[in-house]
Amino acid sequence: MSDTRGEIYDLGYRNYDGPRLGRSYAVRSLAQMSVRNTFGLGRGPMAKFLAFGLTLFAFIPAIAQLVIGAVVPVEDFTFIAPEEFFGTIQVILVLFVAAMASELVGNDRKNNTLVLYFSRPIEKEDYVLAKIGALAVALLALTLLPQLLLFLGNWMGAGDGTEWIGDNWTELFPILAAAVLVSAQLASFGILVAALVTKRAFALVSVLGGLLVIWIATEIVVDLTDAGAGAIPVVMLSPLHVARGATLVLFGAVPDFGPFDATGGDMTVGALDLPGFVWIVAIVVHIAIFTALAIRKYQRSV
Amino acid sequence: MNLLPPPAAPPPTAPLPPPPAPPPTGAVSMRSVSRWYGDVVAVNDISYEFQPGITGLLGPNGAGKSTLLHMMSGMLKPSAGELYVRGEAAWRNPAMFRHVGLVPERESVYPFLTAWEYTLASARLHGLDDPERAATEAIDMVELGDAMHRKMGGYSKGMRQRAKIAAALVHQPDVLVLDEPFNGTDPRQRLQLADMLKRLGASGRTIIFSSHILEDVEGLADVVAVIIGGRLAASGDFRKIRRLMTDRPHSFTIRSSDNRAVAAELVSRPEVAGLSFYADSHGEAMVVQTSDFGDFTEAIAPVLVRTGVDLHELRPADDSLENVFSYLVNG
Amino acid sequence: MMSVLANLTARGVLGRKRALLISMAMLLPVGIATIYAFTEAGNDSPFERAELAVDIVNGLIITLLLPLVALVLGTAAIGGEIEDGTAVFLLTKPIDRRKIMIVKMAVAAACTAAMTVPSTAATAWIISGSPTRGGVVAGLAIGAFAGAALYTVVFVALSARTHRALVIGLIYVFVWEAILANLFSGLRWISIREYSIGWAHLVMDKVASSFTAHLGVGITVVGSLVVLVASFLLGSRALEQFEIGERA
Repeated sequence: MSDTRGEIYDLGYRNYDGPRLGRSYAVRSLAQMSVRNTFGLGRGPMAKFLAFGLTLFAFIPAIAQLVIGAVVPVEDFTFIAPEEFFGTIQVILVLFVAAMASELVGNDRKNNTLVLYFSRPIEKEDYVLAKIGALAVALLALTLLPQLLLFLGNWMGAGDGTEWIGDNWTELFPILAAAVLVSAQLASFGILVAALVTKRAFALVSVLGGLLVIWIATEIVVDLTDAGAGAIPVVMLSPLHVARGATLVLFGAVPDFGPFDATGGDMTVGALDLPGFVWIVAIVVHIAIFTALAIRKYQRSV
Repeated sequence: MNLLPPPAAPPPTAPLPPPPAPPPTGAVSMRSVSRWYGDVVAVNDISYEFQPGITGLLGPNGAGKSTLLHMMSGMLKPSAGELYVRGEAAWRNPAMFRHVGLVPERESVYPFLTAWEYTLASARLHGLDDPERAATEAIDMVELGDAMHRKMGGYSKGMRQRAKIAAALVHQPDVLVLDEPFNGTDPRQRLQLADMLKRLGASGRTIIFSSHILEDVEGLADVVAVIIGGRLAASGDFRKIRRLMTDRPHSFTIRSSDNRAVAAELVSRPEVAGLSFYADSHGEAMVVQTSDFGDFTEAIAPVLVRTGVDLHELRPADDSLENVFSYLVNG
Repeated sequence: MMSVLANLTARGVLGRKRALLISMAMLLPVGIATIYAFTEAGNDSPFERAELAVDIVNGLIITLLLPLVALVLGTAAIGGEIEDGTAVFLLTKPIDRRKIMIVKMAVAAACTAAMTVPSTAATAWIISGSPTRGGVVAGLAIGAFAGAALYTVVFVALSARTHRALVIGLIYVFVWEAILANLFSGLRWISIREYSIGWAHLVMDKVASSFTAHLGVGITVVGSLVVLVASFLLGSRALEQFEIGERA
């Protein structure tokens, strides 16, 4: 019963005539999904555990302060000043960025889904910006939320609520600005390094190691040069130091003292005695350069 | 008159020890081998003896072929049962690899080595006396001579496959296990590979390879073992199994406005092997057994038209592959 | 046979620009030392310089760079092969798994040492300004060598057992050694860092307070041997029981 003609049958194939949501929707979706992935949604239980564990750790100083503040009958109790917050949770932030950046970048590479992404209306820069944006937003959970919690807690606990808020509402600006800048900076650094390192596991070590090694090396150099002018370029290259500097400047709390006696990041910043805006410019430059380099990496070779 | 006391009951004897299990006869021999991962059973109670020559392991994806091959090659521990290769247990027995070669499906080549270096390394790691010569012969057998000094990172998939085979052959193993070797090969490569395996099989080695494609197995394997859902569903000569598949009776369930009229027409046809009726809540149904699926499907429509009945239902009753193979396995 | 294994391991471990990147990272302490030598060195007494050498090498290399390099190279030696699938190539050979393990450990440890000890010695030498004062250079080099060997061997064994070796290694270095062992002195004898420091002090005078040896010679030697042997045995057993992972 073979037919010698050939025919293509109309099985009711339909064109898609619906709305095509376009590039911005695609990018937003990618960013959204990346944020969810950062917190382990859509991944295994281990990822959730890690993400939420680290986030919890970031909340501990805030919670501790609230609890102690409630117990200790001292007005305006400050266990950890807002500007010191990032210093306290620095290791947790570094771990979070390292783990999440390597996840976000490495999984797409390992599963060869990059080709899929780029055959859709997503450009390379969209992809990178979406990933960095997502990681930065995720980091806000650690940089911003605990601070806000603290702020709210202090407000609740204050003797006179309206008066307290009147005095302190301006605090919100530096809290927000510092959190956003630091998150963006760490996120862009993390994504850049993860993109440069091919294997996912080594990306984690590289981001982690990179931030920590540069931190320690910078501290040493500053120590060696007694916070002299020679140390400035080195410090400007250290993401964590620049983050600290910008934070301190935003809170107007750069430590101020004479003879150099560095015993830690904040002191280092203070000792360098640079005008405040330099730190702000530095962190913005960091964000711009890391992002640009990451985009360039993906444009050159996927 | 019987005056003698009844003889005493014989003293109870200890139960005889069970007779020793017969020694495994095939080159690869398995008894009730199973492998599970938590709740998922990948290989389910398979007993089989692989003989010298080429055996094809046939089955759909996920049927357990790779699991079985990995257990055979000492790369996986059976959860139950016994698995012997040349009379010795396969698991935790590195010495076995003197006589066994595995060509895994997954990537297992060093991208920074050339095929020559890779095969030579394999020969050296096997402790061969003349590793260079063995490597040269292996490379020639897989016809990689031209490319053998290029790094394998730049090889096509087919070339990497051949390099893996060379490395697995370099020590002239008695047993060669290949996991989906025809995956991703083009027709020419397939022919070359099949030829090579035929020559090796003819030399008395035991070659076991897996595939989910009938045609790969067809011209090559002397013997086929069919794995479905982790079970051994069929084994033996490939043509016999094939015939069994088409010779099996099929049953169809038919409901119409006049079953008896249809039955009267059908009973005279040669492709109908049996007819029966049953009644259930939907009324009377007719079950037709056929011996030739193809002929029956061609015949039924004209019959229905001729008898002028209204057809309510025409349904094959046992068409799942599982049913087919359980039929095979049971009888 | 062993040389083939060694060759393959070395190439696998140091491949993919890994050697280059790690070397660059290990130049950092040397760079810092050089900066120091050209700036402050003139102002410090030999004793202060020796102390500084110890502080910097300890803080930057022994605490941070060394374990990280050992982690990267150690997990690459076996874990990397398992992930790439080349472990099957090695394991389908009639070779005693213990032989494989010892070669991998030796090569990986040698690579780590080669990457870290020269940088340690150079940094210490440049900062302290003298190759022999207080036995600083020799002591730190020995400590780094011991640390390289111990860390790498442990990480090789770990990566033979679990594919999460990297994370576990990181937790060990950054949580256990950094925090717990410092807080609870009783736990100090389960810290490779302490062993390294102990080894360093075999030839080094007590120079810097940050580098006190908390463990005596006896424990250092015995503990190191235990770590080496235990890692070898456990790692070998993991290889013997290696099962190919089914793809998800």
